This record gives sequence, C-alpha cells and structure tokens, in this order.
Amino acid sequence: MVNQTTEHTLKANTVVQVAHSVKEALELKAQRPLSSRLISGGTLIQLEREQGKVLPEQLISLEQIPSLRGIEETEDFMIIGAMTTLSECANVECLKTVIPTVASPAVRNRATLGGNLMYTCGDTIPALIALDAKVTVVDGAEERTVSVIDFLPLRADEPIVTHIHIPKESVESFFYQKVGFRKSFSKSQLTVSSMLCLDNQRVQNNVRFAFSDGERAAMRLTSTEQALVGQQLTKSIIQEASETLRKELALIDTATTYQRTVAKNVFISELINRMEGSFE
Amino acid sequence: MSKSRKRPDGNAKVTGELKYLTDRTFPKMLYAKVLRSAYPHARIRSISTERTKELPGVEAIITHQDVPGVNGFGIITPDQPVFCDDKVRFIGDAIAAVAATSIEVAEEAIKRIDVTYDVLPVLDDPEKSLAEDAPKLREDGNVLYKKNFTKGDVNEGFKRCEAIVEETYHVPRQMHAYMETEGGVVVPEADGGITVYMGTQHGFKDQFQLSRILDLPKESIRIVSSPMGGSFGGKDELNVQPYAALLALKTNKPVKLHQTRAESVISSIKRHPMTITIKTGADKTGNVIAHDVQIVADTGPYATLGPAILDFAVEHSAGPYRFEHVAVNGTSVLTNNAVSGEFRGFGGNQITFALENQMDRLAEQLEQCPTAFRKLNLRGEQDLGPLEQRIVPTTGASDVLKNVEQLKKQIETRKDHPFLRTGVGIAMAMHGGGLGFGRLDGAGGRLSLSDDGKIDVSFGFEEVGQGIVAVIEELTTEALQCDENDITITIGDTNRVPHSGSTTASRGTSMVWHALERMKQEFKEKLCEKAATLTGEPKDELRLGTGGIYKGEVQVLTYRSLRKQLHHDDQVVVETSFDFPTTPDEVDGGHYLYTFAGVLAAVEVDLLTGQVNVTHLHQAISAGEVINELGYKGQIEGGGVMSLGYSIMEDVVMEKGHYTKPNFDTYMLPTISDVPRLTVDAIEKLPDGDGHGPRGVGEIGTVAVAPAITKAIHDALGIWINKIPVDPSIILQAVEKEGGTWWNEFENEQPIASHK
Ligand SMILES: Cc1cc2nc3c(=O)[nH]c(=O)nc-3n(C[C@H](O)[C@H](O)[C@H](O)COP(=O)(O)OP(=O)(O)OC[C@H]3O[C@@H](n4cnc5c(N)ncnc54)[C@H](O)[C@@H]3O)c2cc1C
Repeated sequence: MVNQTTEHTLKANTVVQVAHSVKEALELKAQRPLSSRLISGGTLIQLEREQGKVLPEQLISLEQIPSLRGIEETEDFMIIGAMTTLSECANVECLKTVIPTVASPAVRNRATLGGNLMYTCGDTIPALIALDAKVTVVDGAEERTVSVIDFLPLRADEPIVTHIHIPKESVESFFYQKVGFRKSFSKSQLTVSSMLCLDNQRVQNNVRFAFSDGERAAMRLTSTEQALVGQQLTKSIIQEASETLRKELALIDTATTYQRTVAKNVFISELINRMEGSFE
Repeated sequence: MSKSRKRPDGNAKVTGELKYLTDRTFPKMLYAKVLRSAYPHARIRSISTERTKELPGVEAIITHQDVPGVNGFGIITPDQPVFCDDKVRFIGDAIAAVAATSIEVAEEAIKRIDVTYDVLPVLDDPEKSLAEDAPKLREDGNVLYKKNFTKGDVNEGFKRCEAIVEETYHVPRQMHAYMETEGGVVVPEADGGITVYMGTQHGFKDQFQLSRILDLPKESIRIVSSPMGGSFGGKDELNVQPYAALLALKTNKPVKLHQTRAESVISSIKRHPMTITIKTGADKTGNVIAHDVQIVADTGPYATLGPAILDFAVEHSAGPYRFEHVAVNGTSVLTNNAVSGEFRGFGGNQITFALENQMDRLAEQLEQCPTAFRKLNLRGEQDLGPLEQRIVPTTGASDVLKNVEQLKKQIETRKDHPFLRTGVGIAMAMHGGGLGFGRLDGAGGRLSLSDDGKIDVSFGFEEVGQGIVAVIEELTTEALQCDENDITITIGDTNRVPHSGSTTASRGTSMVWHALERMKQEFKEKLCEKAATLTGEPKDELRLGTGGIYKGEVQVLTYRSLRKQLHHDDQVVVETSFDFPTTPDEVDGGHYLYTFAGVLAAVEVDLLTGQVNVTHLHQAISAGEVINELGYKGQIEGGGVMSLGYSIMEDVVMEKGHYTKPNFDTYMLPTISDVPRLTVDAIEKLPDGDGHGPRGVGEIGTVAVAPAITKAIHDALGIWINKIPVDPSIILQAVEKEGGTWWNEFENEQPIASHK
C-alpha cells in the first residue's frame, strides 16, 4: 500500500472578523465582550503571542474602516485617525522626534497610533501627554473626547479609539527622549517628554512633564510643573526644580534608581539647554 | 587579479534568492518538535506519551528508549544525552521528540507528553558547584577540566615588583545569534541510510557522531551542510540532527526540524562566561615580572569543547607579551546553566579582556604611557610562544601596535560637550590558528577535471557566511591561472568532498592555500601532459590559462575539448591530505601560527544616561596576505561589531538556571544604528622566508575589541570597568558620585544670561 500522508491541522482557535464601520466593530465586540479583542496593525498582539499569550477567540479587525485612517489639519489641531500607521505619523511635525524611536521601520509600517496608545507603555504616550493631546473614544453608544492622561485609566474598559487630536502648540518648546538598551529598535528603559513654553525666559502655564518607566502607564510630574510655572528660567530655579524633580521621582516606588536618575538628568539638561546663555 | 572580487554567493544571498537547507521541503515530509526540560536540574520520575498517541497527525514519538546506538553526543566526549533518561541537567535538555503532519500538531503533541520530575537543587553559579556540599553533576564531581601553566616562580617574581595590580574580571555568556536557527530536513534513503540536510561546520564529524547514535555505518549517512545562515562556532557541535534523523528512520519519511528563535535560545551553546582573577606586577621601569591568573569558566552541564576552550584561554593568558614568571590555573566548572561551547575567539576574547585591562591599570600605576608600557613587554620576532613552545617567527605584535599608536596620535581630542565625554582606548591580541599540538587536525582537498570540462575544486569546508567560496575561487584561479568560469566549487556534501577538517579555528583560508600549493603543480602537469599527447605540442611549452591550455599566447585546447577527447575512464584527479602545521615542541594544545590584532576604540559617554556610544572602531590585523579584500574586511568589521555587542549590550542572563531574555526582543544585539565608523588596516608583511601563506581571519577581529572600548571609557571618565557588558548604571553611579560632572560645571559656571 502506498504510504499516504494526509495533513492534519488543529482547529483554529481564533477567528478574525473584519468590521467595516465603528458601529459594526462595537456590535461585534458586544456579542462576545469577554472573548474578543480589537486588532489594528496587530504588531503588539503578535509580540504578545510570541511571548506565549493565548489569542482570544475573536479578533475584530479595524483595518477596513476608512474613517479611522489619515491625518487632518484644522486651525488648532492635527487630527490623526487611530488606524493611521506610525510611519505616516512621522510626517506630523511634532511627532518627528518621537516616531523613529518606536520599534523598527517594518513594524512602524503596520503599527498604528491607536494601537500604541492602547499599549500599556506605548512610547508615544509620554509625548502625547506633553503635547496635551486629546483622544476620541467610543464606548458603547457614547463618544467622548478626553485628554490622554485621563484616557489612560479608561483603557481597561477596552473602548474603541477613533481619533487623536494634537494641539498645534510650539514645536520648539516640545522635548522627547526615549532611553533604550541600544540606539534603535529597543524596548524603553524610560521615556520622558516635556512641553516648556517660554516667554522672555518665563515659563508659561502650559508646562507639562511626562515620564514612563517602559513597563507601566506614563504619568505627569505635576509638582515639578508647579515649581516651574510662571518662573523666570534661571540657574537657581533650575536648581530648585532639580530638587523637586528628584523628590517627585523618588515617590515612584516602582522605578529603579537608574530610571529616576536618568529621568532627572535628562529633564534638567533640557531646562539648561533652554536657559539662555547656559554653557556657551 | 582582482582581490576585491564579489562573493560568488553574494547576489543570491542579498536578494533572498538563495535557498537555505532549512527552506527545503520534500514530498510526504513530516515536521518535528523536541520536548525540552521544564527544570534546570531534576530527576525524571516518569515520561508518558499516552495522551500524544490519540492526537491525529502524530506519526512518531521517541524518547531515550528509541536510541539504537550511543545515547549521547559531543565532539570530544559524547556526554550530552540525545534524550535524558534519569536526569535533566539544564533547561535545554531534550526528553522526547515528535514527528507529525504539521508544525501545529507537533507543537500540540509535545505539550501532551507528561513528564514527572523530582526537582533538584540548581547549581547556577560555578561557586555553588565548587562548594563542598554541592550535589554532583557527574560521578567524579563538578570540575569538568583543569589546566595549569607555570613558568618560573610567580611568588619570587612578586617580591621584585614595585607596582602590583590585582583585579577580578567578569565576562558574559554571549549568544551566537546566527540568522538561520538550527535545523533542516533528514531524508530516509532506499538503501536504509539517510541524507541529512542541515548546517554544520564539519560534515564528516556529524556523520561520525550520527553513526554512533543511530548505530548505522558512516557510509550510510550523507551530510549536506552548505550553505548555512551563520554559525560563529555555534553549529560545530551537533544540535538537532539526531532528533530528525531518528524520526526519519522511524517513520521512513522525510522529517523537517527547524528551531524557532526561542527554541534556539533555550537549547543552543553559548560563549563561556568566565570569572578571571589576575595579579600582575612590574618593576620600576615597567617590566612585568610576575603574572598570576585564575580562570573559572561556567561550562554548563556537558563537555562539548569546554576543555579545549579552557586550554586556549590558559595559553593566551599572557597574550603577545613576554613575562618572566607566569602561573595560570584554569578550571572549567559544571553547572546547570546553558551549555557553553565553541564561539568565535575560543576563550581568547575572555582572557584578552582581563589581560589588556591589567596592562592598562599597571601602566597607570607606573605613570607610563599604555602603549610604551606594552612595547616594553612585547614579544620579539624570534621569541617563543606563550607556552614556551617554538612558533613561526612573527613581527605581528609590534606591527599592529605601531599601527594603532600612529592612529591614536592623529585623533584629535575633541572639545567635550557639556553632557558628553569622549575617550580613546587601544588594546591588542595574539591569537593561535588551528587546533593546536596533539589534536587531530587533518586537512585536504581535491582538484579534478569534471565531465563537463570544468576544473572542479573540492573541500570539506562549509560556507557558513564567512566567504570561504570566495576564498576558494580566488586562490584556485590564482594557483591555476584560469578564471572563475573555468572552475566549479564543491563543498558541503560528504558524498562529494574530501576530508578537510572542521570549518573552525580560523583554519579555512590557510588550509585552502596549503592544499592548492600541494596540488597545483601536479594538476597543471597532468593537464598539460594530456594536452601534449592530444595536440602533439611539447608538454614543457604548455601552460594553463583562461578557458584552456595555451602555448605562448595561443590557446591550443579548451578544457572542455580536452575532457571530451579523453577516454571516459581517463580521469584527471589530484588529491592531497596533510595536517595543520603545529609546533615541533610537544606542548599539548600549543599553537604554531598566530595572528595579531591592534584595536583602537573611540567612545562618547553620555553623562546623563551612562550610555556608551562607540564612535570609531579601528583594527590593524597581521595575518599575512589578504586573499579577498571584501571577505577580509567583512570578517574584521563583522567581528568588531559582534564584540561591540559583547562589550556593551549582550548577556544571556540566567537566573536559577532559567533564561531571563528568551528572545531577541530582550536579548540585545547591535543593530545597524549601533555600528560605528569602522576601519581596517591589513598588515600583510611576513618575515622573509615564511612559507605558511595567508592565515585565517575568522576570529581575530573579535578578540581585542572589548578592552579597547573599556579603556576608552576610562580615558573619558577615569573609571575602570571590570565587568562586561558595560552597565550604564555603574557609569552613572560613578558620574553621580562626583556630584555629576556636568551638574557641577553648571552650578559653578556663570551662565552668560546672568551676566547681562
Ligand atoms: C518587534 C516589535 C517591537 C516593538 N517595539 C515597540 C517600541 O519600541 N515602542 C512601543 O511603544 N511599542 C513597540 N511595539 C509594540 C507595538 O508595535 C506598538 O505599540 C504599536 O503601536 C501597536 O499598534 P498596532 O496597531 O500594531 O496594535 P495592535 O497589535 O493591533 O493592538 C494593540 C492593542 O491595542 C488595541 N487596539 C488597537 N487599535 C485600537 C483602537 N483603535 N481602539 C482601541 N483599541 C485598539 C488592541 O486590542 C490591542 O490590545 C513593538 C512591537 C514589535 C512586534
């Protein structure tokens, strides 16, 4: 008898459903709230699968929802669809220093901004906090727009992110640095970002400092911000801010000494760089 | 002759057109998976495959009971079980394997194999293994091997020293990280034998090892082993060949086994982590009088080449220097960590890091220039080798040192940025080629005129990505004065190639050259003789050339027509076999041919993050003639980048015998962004009358990089590093201890704004 080989495959455990509108995605999600998950670029989900996480029974793809793609410019905002890839986002002026630090070119061609915001410690999050970005989310029937920092705890309910609105503030006043384990394509050890607008060397009200430890959700460093608001950026103010920052970072008990020291150093170096005439 | 010829295998590799052995498929092919241990150290109480048998698509399940021959492998001692029966000794130990009709079924099947264990204490550090009450990993204890070397009396020597440096150095477990993970296909043949399509560095050794395991005659096992996607020493030892072979024989179907990266990380061998304690002393003028070295290597649970690697480290403990009194004690210790084995540099990288750091520290203590201090202690052309054995005369040591010294003078120290410090460091190394005295180190090759009228040149070497095909092409066309269209190159198939020994120990280029030197005259004469008979031209006036046989500038016969006109049985074949040249002195493991590297590294240290940015890596190499420029540069630059990873980022960290970085998302290798400016100077000159030809350069580019980088960090910040990869938090601590150099400057300087 001929030795026949028939291929046996296991029953697939995961079904991918393609939604064509946000409404349809919501309906699909409502059908199996506990055993489904949205998928955009799928790069995080792929990473998690490689790490041994089991895929849910249903993946709801947002790829075929045109309204979630693209970048629109209004007078005050850059409005970015959640399904816009990181590679496309690199064209947005204020994200020019941010996007190249995330993953690799190939990953960025698939990865989306919405997906990055939903990733616990997505590298764009500290930047979006510093930029005071807002997020539009649809949760059940409701659609709302909230600031990124307020959005972070809402992620647990798995809403659909539809758009990210970035105010067109001064790009020169924006700062971002990711500290990885090598020069590119690395997990973050820590990521910091700030917005520091100066008028005649005086710190304006919209000062924002954000910190992420590369594991947990990013946070704002409000005491440090308070110490700077309205102050003239001088050596002694920087010295004071440095001390406040040190204390504020010390309160983050999940952070390592290395992370705290580097975060402080990097922020302070940015203040020094911004101070007129320093190190000249 | 174009020395910068493109690699014959280059285009197909770069375009992705080339099929690797792991890309092959065969009709009716099955897929295999190996079940590895759940614990780093445990007694196996039971193995049950009952639940696997029910799974449709599973065609065979094998355990230790299914090994017909020796249940073990190892290039020297077969002490690593193919399948564990009573005990597992590291997390990569194999317990069972499955062949199924798809990868998914095979994966599910191994999950259904039930193994019960009695967990044993984990020896995750050589120190623990050496403790009195440590459980024994083998009957005679936990020391795999010891190697000592003494010259003079160090204790007497230290009495005469004015400056003494004593330090302990730690070097990491590095991963080869070849692009193509282990695997391929094993195909059962009609005659009861098998063909193994899997990458290796030594096809005939795999054939031998498999024959022992499978209890099959060697002739029944054909190994097809080139091309492969990288090895760096990592595939010289057997890896997954036995599993696919056993399953193919059991099912009588082709079986594919290709490890995922995560599976590869778990099971593959790694570079030996070592702890090296050295005490070195010099007199007032800077002559090193005494050098006392203790090496402890974490070799994992099985031997593979652990002893030979320790021998190599011990041999190179004093590197290119001549010290009056030397004592080296090396111990290779068994642990429940990853199996450590062969890796580009072969123990030289570890010891060179420690030795070169000692030299720099001593120079500082003596307030001498590190280069002048090295020169003072450097070997001369006619000096004995490091084991006091006779070696081939060489000026390599002083040549490479001069080269980097010159460059260092030219590099302007750039004005420091407030948050950056820059530094430059140099280091050097001496590295033996071949396996050393007393080791079977046969080589050979074959030239023949094949039926299609091509000159076939054949070696038992493997193309692992290093460029041996380009070297063979270059040397053959040069030796025979023909061109690349006249020749075919046959490698990587035990059915078709002669024994050349392993593609290891920087021996490939050297052995190809030697083989051709031995064969070329006889081969040319044979061809000319046949041509003379056929054409009636006087034999002595004929010569080989492009496309055929020439008389003067006139072609009298093409190779093709020569072949056609010969009787079929009239074969033109020249073969040679010989041994890699060794020292005439009976010094076990002692080398004879050495290469040298001088390295200059420039770094920028970020004071805010403690991170090190290597900005320039220069290597001066003394290894005789360059055979292929691109290949040579590729080896040195690639080796440099590999060691940049070793110096500042790579470490296969294990905690309690488990890998903490199981994949490339956390195990950091340099990417193209981390690659600094790379420059290579080849010093080709050899002493007059050197008849040994070009030396191999597969390893030398990796050996002295780390100490150059750490010296550059010292130059930048004034801190000594005794552990690699360099930990940015240690650098940051050092910077912060001084109150943060940049912060002090800021606090103490008057910013211009406040002047206004
Ligand atoms: C090799 C590799 C390297 C990486 N490196 C980095 C890195 O350096 N920095 C970094 O930040 N990330 C990194 N990532 C993670 C990931 O690629 C990015 O975070 C990416 O932006 C995720 O986007 P995505 O569209 O692929 O998300 P997906 O994988 O599709 O989804 C991610 C999560 O977001 C949810 N989600 C997706 N879209 C929406 C939406 N519109 N509304 C609500 N929920 C949504 C999904 O349900 C899922 O939980 C890396 C991933 C890989 C594979």
